[in-house]
Amino acid sequence: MIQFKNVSKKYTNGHEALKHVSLHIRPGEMAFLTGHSGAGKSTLLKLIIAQERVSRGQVIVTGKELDALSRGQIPHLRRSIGVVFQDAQLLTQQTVFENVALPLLVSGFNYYEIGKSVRAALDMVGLLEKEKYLPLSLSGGEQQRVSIARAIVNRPTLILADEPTGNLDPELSAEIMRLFENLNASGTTMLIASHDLSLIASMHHRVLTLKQGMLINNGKD
Amino acid sequence: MAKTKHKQRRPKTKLNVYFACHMRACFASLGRMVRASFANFITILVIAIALTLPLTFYVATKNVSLVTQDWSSASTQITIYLKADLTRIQTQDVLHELRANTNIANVRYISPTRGLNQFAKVLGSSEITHLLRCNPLPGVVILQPILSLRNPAQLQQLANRLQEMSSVDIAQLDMQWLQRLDGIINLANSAVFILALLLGFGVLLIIGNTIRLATRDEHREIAVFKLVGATNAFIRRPFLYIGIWYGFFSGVIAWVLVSVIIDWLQAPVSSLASSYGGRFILQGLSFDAGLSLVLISMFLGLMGAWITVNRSLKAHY
Repeated sequence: MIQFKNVSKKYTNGHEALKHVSLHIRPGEMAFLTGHSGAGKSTLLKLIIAQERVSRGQVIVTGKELDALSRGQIPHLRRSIGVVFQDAQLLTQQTVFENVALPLLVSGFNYYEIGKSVRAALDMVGLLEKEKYLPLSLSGGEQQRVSIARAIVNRPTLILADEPTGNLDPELSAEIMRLFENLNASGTTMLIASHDLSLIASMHHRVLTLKQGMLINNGKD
Repeated sequence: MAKTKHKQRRPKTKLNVYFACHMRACFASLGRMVRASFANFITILVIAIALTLPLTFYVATKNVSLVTQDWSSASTQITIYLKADLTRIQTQDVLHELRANTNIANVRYISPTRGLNQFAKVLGSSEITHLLRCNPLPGVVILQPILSLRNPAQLQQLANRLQEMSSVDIAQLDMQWLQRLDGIINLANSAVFILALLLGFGVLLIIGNTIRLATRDEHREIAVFKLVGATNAFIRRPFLYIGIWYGFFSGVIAWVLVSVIIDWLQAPVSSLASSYGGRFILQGLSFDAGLSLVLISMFLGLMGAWITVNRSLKAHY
């Protein structure tokens, strides 16, 4: 599903965020990505959704070599990947329903289909009754769940999460992780960046560790 | 399993989706403008006034050239001074020849005697006829060319031909002042064109700048759209429609403004014209011209929006 072949990423300001990273995450797998802040976790995720381009090496996602993608093909790649960030990145002027509908809207689905899928996704994260609310009137945990609903609404085969529990209390964090495990059980590949080591340890999944841009633990052996 | 379901939910025809996306963007952008109605109203007014300026000049020059056309058709004439030593029969021959000329609509002959009488009348004294031993005035023929001949080059040609006639001393075309006026109007027309060009560019900048501010406010939102896989065309669309709406409303307002100005000027123009014993009705914008104004303004709006949105889209990956 995700394959990095000797990937290095150097930003234009000279900072080398990733150094010779190679990894392989199979379809249906659930993996954690850990490391201190600045270790390169976010950069690694950005490379997968083509928000950044590699300086050296190769990234292959869902069978596509990202460096070979044209600008016009990138949106289509992103539609097959659900993304959850630490800050929920919601549109504050639009309701919960409209936020979750966004990925379907940009793919050109009609209103009837959108309604069904959005309610199914909101039901999964337990926010069905809040569809008409504006994001800012929700709690942090609820906002995060809205962004998860948005990530899963078009049933992507891959979900990336960047510190999805960073702002949440342990109870809510555990709840969101359970949600991720459920999604994984239904076949979705999950890659979750987090530095919450105790939470990760309690979950018994593959853990990849980055340190200063290098992958020091592949989590396989 | 999940994948096949996903396939089934895909919309049937691409064209339908495309159309639906456009309608959605079109009305969503209108809704967005209505929500920030005051700021947008000001912007639209600024654009409308920028459009009204060259438009008013355009209408003014159109009316002036209409007036001078009237003048030139009424007053274009060729004056022929016959040679002094012509006999009465020779004079009749010349007049006959001129009347037979198909380029000439009207021939008026002023004999030397009548000319002298008129001259005396102007001086206010009949003494002059007695003082002069013989009449020094030549016979004068005043010609009006036919209407289809009334452009300067053709008129000059006719005058030259008349000049070559053996019994004609001088053939004089009375239109130099008209040519000068014509030149002034042409100059005004080019000035209007340049003004329109400049202000059109101004409209482009105003719309572009407004859209730039709008996209700056929505920097974050554009990033979110990109994240969920929106194509550039999808993100661009509502902004382009905002530009088109700006153009549309401004064009319509400019049209109304010019019509109001014309209406307002009609009364003083009428009284001025009647003081010269004439009647003149100001010509406003024709429907076609108004329609092209709105279309041009919409096009300017689209261009302004396009240029700015593309710039701001390039900032995101």
